[in-house]
Amino acid sequence: MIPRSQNFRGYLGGWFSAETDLTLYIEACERVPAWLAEDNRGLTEFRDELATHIRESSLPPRHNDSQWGTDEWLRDIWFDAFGPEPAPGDPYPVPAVQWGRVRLTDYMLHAVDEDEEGSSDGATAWLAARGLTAQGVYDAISGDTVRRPEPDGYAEHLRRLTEAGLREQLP
Amino acid sequence: MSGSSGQSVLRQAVEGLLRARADAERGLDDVTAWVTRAALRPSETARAGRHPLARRAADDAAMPAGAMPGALAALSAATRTAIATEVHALLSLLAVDHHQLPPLPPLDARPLAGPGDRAFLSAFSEGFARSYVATVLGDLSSGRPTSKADAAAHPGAQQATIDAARDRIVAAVEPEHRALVRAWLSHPDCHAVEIHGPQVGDRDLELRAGWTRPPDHGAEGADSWRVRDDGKVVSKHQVMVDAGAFTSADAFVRPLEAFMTVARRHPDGIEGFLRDHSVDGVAPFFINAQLGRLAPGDAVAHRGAGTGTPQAARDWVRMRRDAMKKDHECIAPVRTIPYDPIADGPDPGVRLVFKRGEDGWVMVTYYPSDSPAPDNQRLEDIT
Repeated sequence: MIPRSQNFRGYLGGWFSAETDLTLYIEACERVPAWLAEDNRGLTEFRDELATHIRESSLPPRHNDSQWGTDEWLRDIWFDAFGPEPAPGDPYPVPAVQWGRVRLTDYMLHAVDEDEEGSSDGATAWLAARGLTAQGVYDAISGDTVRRPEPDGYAEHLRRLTEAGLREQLP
Repeated sequence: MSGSSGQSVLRQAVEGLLRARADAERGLDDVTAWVTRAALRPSETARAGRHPLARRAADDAAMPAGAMPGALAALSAATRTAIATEVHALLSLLAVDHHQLPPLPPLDARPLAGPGDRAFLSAFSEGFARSYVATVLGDLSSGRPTSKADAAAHPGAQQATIDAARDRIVAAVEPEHRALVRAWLSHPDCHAVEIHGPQVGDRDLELRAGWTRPPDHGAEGADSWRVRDDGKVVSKHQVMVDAGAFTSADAFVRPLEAFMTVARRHPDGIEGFLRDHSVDGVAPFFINAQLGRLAPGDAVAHRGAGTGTPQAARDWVRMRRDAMKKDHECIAPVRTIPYDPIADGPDPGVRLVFKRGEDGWVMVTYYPSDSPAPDNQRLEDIT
């Protein structure tokens, strides 16, 4: 999918911009279930387009990052916002067991603590919806990480997507 | 689990080794007696690391220390190579799953024969490894840590000082905007003055970046933050790798005036402008330094050392969380660097976010930054 929509830019640079304002990001992640329940159309369009960008590697790389690193960032946002099921059609889904154990997201690093006093008010519900515990995530902060390398054949995968007109050729 | 090979420990070992290398490079130009000490020091630093690889590096680096003075060049190359080899091994672990084969392209030892950061860097393969080492190496000399005790002992903010800063800011605004700006900056959900105002000191910023201590700690409405008796820093204050503030009321106001000049041209005024440039009740803007008339010296900030790539920044945040744990389970404090986001940033300006609340638009954040975040709306694109 190229280029991204105004609606997508609005959510990515606003509600879901952890880099701009973590408080807003955490609130957004916690409000997603309510937004979906009230059939928030902008949000469902953002979700669908996020899935498309993950599937087609079509979001241009972030500053100082690769296409793969950017794809992985979008997968983290997907998990934080929409939960443990991989985005539909994700060609490289993250093994479910990695989340919150060897793979930590912005929500986990900033909204989850072993004590309630240091956690976001919505953390309990957020963790429960993902089958995680506060203690487990807190312990994982000091533990190992799996940072997935570019998969074999990824460059070729990108080339095919580019040829199909789904993404732009990187300079 | 405070494991022997956690991510933050690995990252810390990388920093320790690179610092040791810098020490060794400096020392090796000096007298022979110094050489022995310089080569031993990296080994001591590495030995302090909790990871077995770091300890192995210690032995490798200590070995050449007994060499004769005539073998200076060989000694320095051997020290560099020993350190580079272990940094590379640690990076492999930082890069990927521990259980896979070494995925990073191998180290190129040839450039390590000569001194200098550039040669050292070129030994690492392009991409993840080289950018990671570059961002950590680039910040080595200027980063410094603060202790938990320093953070706990730092005096709290006075409400009167914050209120006085807000008054000075409002007074610097064009008269027709004063009531609106005062309302924005006084809203309980707006902490722009409290956290980014000119009354915020350098030390406040350093402790915000290093320990997530809010600069308005102690004043009414500040996010809760404390150092508990067991040494754990318990914080509800959110901050990424950067903490910045404007240095004067005048500097605070200039980008805001630029924003209002553009926004009020809308047929329905500022309200209409925010409505048309928001998605789901959030409007994120970036006002570049030129448009906002910000010059070097108008803002000051502290940022995490070695956070120049998204992956390195993520590891640094994790290191900070690890350092904030209880006394017996935490690692050493993170390092931060003072900088001028306007003078040093690649695309400097101000990030400004409005959020629609029940009582209208709230300015939820407003702060100087070295660059826009992805998909922040650039004010110049809207004008």
